[in-house]
Amino acid sequence: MAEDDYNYKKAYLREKSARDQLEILLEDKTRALFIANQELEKKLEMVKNQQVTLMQSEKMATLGQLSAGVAHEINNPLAYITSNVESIKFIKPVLVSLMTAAQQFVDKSISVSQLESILVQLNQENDLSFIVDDIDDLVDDTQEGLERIAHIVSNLVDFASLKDNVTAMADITESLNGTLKLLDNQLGTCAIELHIEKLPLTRCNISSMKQVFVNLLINAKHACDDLRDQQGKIRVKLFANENNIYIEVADNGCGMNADTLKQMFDPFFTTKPVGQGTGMGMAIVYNVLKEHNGTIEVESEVGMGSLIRCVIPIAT
Amino acid sequence: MKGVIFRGLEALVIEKCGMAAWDDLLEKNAPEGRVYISAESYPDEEMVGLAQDVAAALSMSMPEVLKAFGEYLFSHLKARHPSIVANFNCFADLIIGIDKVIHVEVAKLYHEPNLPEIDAQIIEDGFILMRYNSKRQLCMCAEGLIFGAASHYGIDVTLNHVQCMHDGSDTCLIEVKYETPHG
Repeated sequence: MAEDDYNYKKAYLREKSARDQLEILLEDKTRALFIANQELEKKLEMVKNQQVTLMQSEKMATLGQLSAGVAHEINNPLAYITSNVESIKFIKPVLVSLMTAAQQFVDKSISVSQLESILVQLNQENDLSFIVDDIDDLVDDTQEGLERIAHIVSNLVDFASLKDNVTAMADITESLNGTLKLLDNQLGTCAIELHIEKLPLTRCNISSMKQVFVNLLINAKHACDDLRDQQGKIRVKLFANENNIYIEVADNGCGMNADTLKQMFDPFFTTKPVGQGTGMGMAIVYNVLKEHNGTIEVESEVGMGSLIRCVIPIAT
Repeated sequence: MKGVIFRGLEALVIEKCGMAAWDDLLEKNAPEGRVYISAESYPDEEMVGLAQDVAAALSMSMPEVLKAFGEYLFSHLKARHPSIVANFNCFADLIIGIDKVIHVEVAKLYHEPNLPEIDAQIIEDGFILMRYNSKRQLCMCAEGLIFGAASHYGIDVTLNHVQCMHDGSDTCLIEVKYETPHG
């Protein structure tokens, strides 16, 4: 009996020692895993921050590419505003003379006949009826031109804003409309066909969605740039079902071959000549969709065109 | 409760009362075939049942058993994790570092360790006020651990449990008066 007890205890102690060693091993591994996980979390945070910086850089690069077009967009209204203001400057002395004469007449410092003589002289020198007809147009056109510039600047500021992490309930159509205004000049060579259905509100990052539209539309436009015997056409469709919002951008441009299709979402992959593309456009589109739990589908045929379909789950 | 605590109790019972006693305790309070593993979690009721039976077998009160267990548990944990204890220069450092150092290390080792909330502040040299809060209400075990720590540093300590969760308070308040190098 004593022998049995001794053996059992010895066996127990041996088993206990094995358990201890295994537990120490497990704890060492768990600690190492914990530390590695913390490192990974730190790195993930860094990558996220870099993504935000990269996205902003891409935006700035896009703005750089758009700057010539935007300058042209601003130049047009600016030209006729300048001309209108110049005309108003010529009209101003006539108006001042008229008002001065009116004031003198009210103050009784000139007589009716003196007033009449001043008015006749002003009319002979300046064709008052033409001024009356013209002034409305001058002011209205100037106001419209200034509003156009204000819109362009507001779209630019909106696009360049740093609100990259802000999500809110919004209509994605707003992003498309803002982007179309921003790219108005850039896309001028293509025929744009819009099929926009009423979309439900969804929780999204409007600023990021604009980046998606900018990249998709600019890519479509570039795909159409080399078309010789036909005009470039870009068709944009926005529609939704119960669960998802769909964004489709289709073009009749050069299309993509299998190699390009394979790599099109890789960061820094570009088919453009060196210095003309950052290669981040579609990588950013992919990331933005991922952040919205969305997916992207691509159909493309060389020489026929491409269709990019973004599917974004409706989030409330 | 984490298996490492059960393993401490297992070691204590076997050392003091033998393997048969531990087997009997397991038979009565744990499911058949139970083997405690440090990283695993087990129902709190098992610990309570085991401790109650240890108290009955040794004719001790539950608080006395928990206190003795806590003291033993400190040396058991110290032997398993000497590097954690080596972080501290003195008794006061260790008590103050329970939440910020020891519990952080424990969280690295065990998933969801469900640790008690402990907030210790030095009121003056030789006097620490500790707040203990846990739904398990094992404040006596905490006292035992404090005694174990004092014993590790070779100093005398006096505890005064001025407020206790067992008396309906939200949290336990333990005055820890300890011997300092200056006397």
